[in-house]
Amino acid sequence: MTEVRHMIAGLPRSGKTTFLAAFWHLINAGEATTKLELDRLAGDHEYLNTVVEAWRRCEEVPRTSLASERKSLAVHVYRPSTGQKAVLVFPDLSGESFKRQVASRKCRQSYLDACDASGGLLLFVTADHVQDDLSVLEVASMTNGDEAKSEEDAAQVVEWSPDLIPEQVQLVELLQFLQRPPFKRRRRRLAVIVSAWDVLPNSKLTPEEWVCRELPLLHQFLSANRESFKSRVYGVSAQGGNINKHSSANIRSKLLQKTPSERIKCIGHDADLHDLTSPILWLMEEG
Amino acid sequence: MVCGRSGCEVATTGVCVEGQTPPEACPFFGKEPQEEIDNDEELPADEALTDTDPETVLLASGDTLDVNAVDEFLRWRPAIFVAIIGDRDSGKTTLISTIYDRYLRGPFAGYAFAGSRTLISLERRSHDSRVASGRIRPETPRTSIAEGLRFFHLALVQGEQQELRRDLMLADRSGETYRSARGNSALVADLIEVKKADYIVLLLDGGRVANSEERSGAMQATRQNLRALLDGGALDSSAVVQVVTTKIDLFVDHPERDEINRHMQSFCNRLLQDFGSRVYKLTFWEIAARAPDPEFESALGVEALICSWLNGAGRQSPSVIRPIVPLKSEFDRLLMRTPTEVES
Repeated sequence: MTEVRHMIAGLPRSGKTTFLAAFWHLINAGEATTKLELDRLAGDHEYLNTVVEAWRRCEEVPRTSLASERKSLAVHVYRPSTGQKAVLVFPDLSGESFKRQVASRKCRQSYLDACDASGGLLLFVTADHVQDDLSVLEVASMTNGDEAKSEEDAAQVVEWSPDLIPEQVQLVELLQFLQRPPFKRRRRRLAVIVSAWDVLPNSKLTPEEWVCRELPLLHQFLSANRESFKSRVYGVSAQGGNINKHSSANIRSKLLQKTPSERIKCIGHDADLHDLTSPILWLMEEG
Repeated sequence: MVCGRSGCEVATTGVCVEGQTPPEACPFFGKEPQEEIDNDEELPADEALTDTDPETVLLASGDTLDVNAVDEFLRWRPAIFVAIIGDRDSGKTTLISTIYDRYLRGPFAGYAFAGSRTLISLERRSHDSRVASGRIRPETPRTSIAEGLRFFHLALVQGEQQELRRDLMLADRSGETYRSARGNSALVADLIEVKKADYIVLLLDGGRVANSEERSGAMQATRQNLRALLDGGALDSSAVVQVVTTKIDLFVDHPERDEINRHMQSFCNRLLQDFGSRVYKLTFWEIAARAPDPEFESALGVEALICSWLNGAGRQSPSVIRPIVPLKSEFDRLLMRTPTEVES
């Protein structure tokens, strides 16, 4: 049986753990038809079971901590259409560790080994984001030249630190690391997952168009580096709606009335609406 | 309030080391410290990764490149070198930051961003023009003399055609160094980036041109820069020199606009007359990289400039006529009979 190691990458709060929770429920519960199904339970699934409980209750799933990041998740799956079996291994790294990687210019050998293994990469970004690279002049033009800040405010100058690197630049840097030694240079399949897709209910944009508009540096980078990354973009709503503490209780109660698997939405590249396994299946394909 | 996470001081500071808000959301919150996630394994956080730890893998710094790093890069692929020369505050770093900022918003000048070896330095230089800096006016940090010669790198592709990739190396050096070289021609030899450059950009500070007291000094500084580089042997008849006037937005509504234009025209003519024949190409450009007036076109003139670097031929190496060596042996003639291209 093939063991396929896929990496999950993304900055803090980009939806990695919620995706894994929804994925685990989906292939476990048998509530919806999926292209990949659970073959058998094997190994330690305690962490997955913990996060999936929160997910089923429509609560925000606990974020992956730095200290628990060494726990790899192994899921035995098979593909009903072909009978192909595989073990999907996700080294579930915390978003903080990716942020630190860009800031400290260091990573762990285990991360390097996981990236050099044969699988693909799920790269998470969230549709529920704010533009973090606006220039002073852009803001001035938006406010038609009216200075948004007073001279007194200007005294609070913030010195540069790696924490201030915009999200899209950090993601490009993480991918650039993979193109150079000590990482093995090879062509990787990369599925960009735009999580919290439900925050764009009336959007006519496809997930790829959204990345092009909201994260243009990342979009250009992926388009210009096809020899390194064979990429696709999916929009995913793993919870089915915005259930953070600022959203209304009404949304949560409506979601709770649904069959959990039917809360899930996956958009793009002919994915079946509730089938979160489509991006992973695509990562498993050859070529 | 207790926390099981080693090193977390939430009990005293209220701040969760895992970054959770509220701290109660942290899986370690409320647990006794001995309740580590794995009893038999102390799992260090990333901040504990030291350079000597066998588990640590060091990654590229993302800082500007020194000469050795550029040499290493050139063993991999060719690059277009641009030396941007100007006095302090003439707009060298602003020009570089503006080009980078444009790619943060999407393709620019017909090219898309394909990567950069110097992303961290580009970010650091752009910071003071961002809202995140807390400033109300964009600023650009100065390049210090101590940094010496460094290069910013940008990889760009035309459309999405990877075979049309261009790697730009933008030389960065403090304005004071160029000023010193202008005053002491012995120092010109040290400006190795000028000899190497495909394009030499001489900046004329439009801010000083707009000021009648400073105007002549600014123009003479640019003229002397060109003369010093030519007389010092850094430039020759193969060089492509671009005189770029910065901050031209300051001229538009200037009460002395006609006067400024007249001086500028005269300055350019004299430069062409005196030095035009000593270089391969001497051209004149105008930019307003970061005009504060929102009505003014953003990055005016920068697109044309970058297009000239990416699409032009650059420095014209003098053609060398190599003598034809007669092929005497059968071994030498073998090459002539061997097809060197795959026939389709």
